[in-house]
Amino acid sequence: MASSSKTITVVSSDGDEFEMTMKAAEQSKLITHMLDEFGVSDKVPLYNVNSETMAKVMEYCKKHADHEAAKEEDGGAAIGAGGEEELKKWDDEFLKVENGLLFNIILAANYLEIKSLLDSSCQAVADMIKGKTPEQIREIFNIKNDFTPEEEAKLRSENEWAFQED
Amino acid sequence: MSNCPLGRHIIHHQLLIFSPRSTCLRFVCAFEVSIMNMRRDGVFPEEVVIQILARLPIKSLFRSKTVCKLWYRLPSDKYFIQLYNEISSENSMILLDISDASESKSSLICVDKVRGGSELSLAFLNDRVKVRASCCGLLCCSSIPDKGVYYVCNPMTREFKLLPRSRERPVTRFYPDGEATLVGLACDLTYQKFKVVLAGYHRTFGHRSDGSFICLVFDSELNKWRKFTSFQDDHFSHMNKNQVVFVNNALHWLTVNSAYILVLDLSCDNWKKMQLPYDVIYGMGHRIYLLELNGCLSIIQISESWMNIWVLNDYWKEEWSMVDKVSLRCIRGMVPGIFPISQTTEYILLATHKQVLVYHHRTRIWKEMYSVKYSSTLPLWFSAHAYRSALFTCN
Repeated sequence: MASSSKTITVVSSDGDEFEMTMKAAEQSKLITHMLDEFGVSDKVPLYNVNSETMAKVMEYCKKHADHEAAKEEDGGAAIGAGGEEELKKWDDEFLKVENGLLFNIILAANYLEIKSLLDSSCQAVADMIKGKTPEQIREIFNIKNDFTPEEEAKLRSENEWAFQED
Repeated sequence: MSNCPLGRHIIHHQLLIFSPRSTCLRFVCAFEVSIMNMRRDGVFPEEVVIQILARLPIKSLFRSKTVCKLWYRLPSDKYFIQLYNEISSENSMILLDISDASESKSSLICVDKVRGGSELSLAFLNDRVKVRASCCGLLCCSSIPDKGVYYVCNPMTREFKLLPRSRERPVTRFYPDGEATLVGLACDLTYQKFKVVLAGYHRTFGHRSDGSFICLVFDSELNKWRKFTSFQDDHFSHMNKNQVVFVNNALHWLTVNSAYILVLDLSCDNWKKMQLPYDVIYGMGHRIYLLELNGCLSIIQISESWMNIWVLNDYWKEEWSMVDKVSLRCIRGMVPGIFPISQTTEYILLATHKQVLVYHHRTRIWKEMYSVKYSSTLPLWFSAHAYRSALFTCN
């Protein structure tokens, strides 16, 4: 693979350009495939991601690329056990954004195939809805209830045990 | 992704981006960007809903079925089920049977790497049962009052199947106490089917073993039992019987002198012995246990100060390799009474008399995940099974 000092340029749907190192770009399977197929010289269009989301994703890729690079030096001793915990805490803080941006981060992570970001962002939203009632969930996701009251009552009684407290 | 119509749609978009400019290309870009903005108006792409719901615990998943029609049908969708089960396989847990002999119901505690213990009731079976085997999210349980009565259930979704009584008498003709020596559950998650194996020595009317080894196999696809006989002489400790592992379409049990693994190949109903290499079985004060790791057989060796984790990387060549060597210095006092029960590549869960501990490989941290407050007659490790949550219909 190209040396880590090389950079590539990606273009968001708003037309803004973002520079990222090769190592950071490797965090995304999609970008890696695109570079393999079409080479490094062109700008990579990522029309599915707007600039606000792109900036966040860049931040994530850079952090994780730096973490991996640090691990490769000293065969892991530089990072150690504490480093892994620290990264996890950073990930948790990173995802503390308003729902709209969080949902866009999930979409971007899915499209760009950044597995670790997809895992943690989806898990964050799953944790958010874990204890909520269906009505609260509908509010968070702005979902319209397409059941009639009779249908809903029937469904609820089918899965009554799921509504009981632990 | 290939089974999901939306997935194919998205891949198609990526190809279009690299084709020569056309009105079609511009339409696609506009469509994709509008998805990001549409979300703000309330339409949430199905693709994202799938990824989020696939990370919910099953109880929450079922509760969210009443949110809207899309969320209702997802847990029954084949693509979703596959994704859900892939994700949950990374969260290996321990199931503890803490039922009191005086209680009329069975209650289990489920311990995972994040939360401590949470209760799981088997009351929906309407019977007092003992958990005999666990595989891919299903449990095989035997009735305590009714010998010969077996259930296969998914404790998370509360689905269960009462296995038909085998027409053969041998279900209660096992030697010595009418109970099968070995009970195994073999699950195929992809096709949502399973087999139950009951095996043991046969006794004649005179209450003496006649040396034959009877094996009864229940096939969920045919909804029938079949039986075959062989002759063998193997012995199993309590842990050997509890720790049956299903990989490569075969059930595996460690034997009591630990020199070999007894294998039941379910593709041809054949018993075989898998010899273990010297390094794996011999050594001063080693106890060994059979677990699963990512679809492979794994043996954990425990000595006074070390825990060695072996994995059978090449099943057919029978090549074992040691993947980790864990120092037990932190838990020195507990070592004689600690038993490994379930693991993933990231961590291992162990049980002692009163506690469940987790060890994380990368951070090298030990943590207590659960402990019993009251004094129990039986140690936790005695009725602990490896377990994972799964969407698996056993009907």
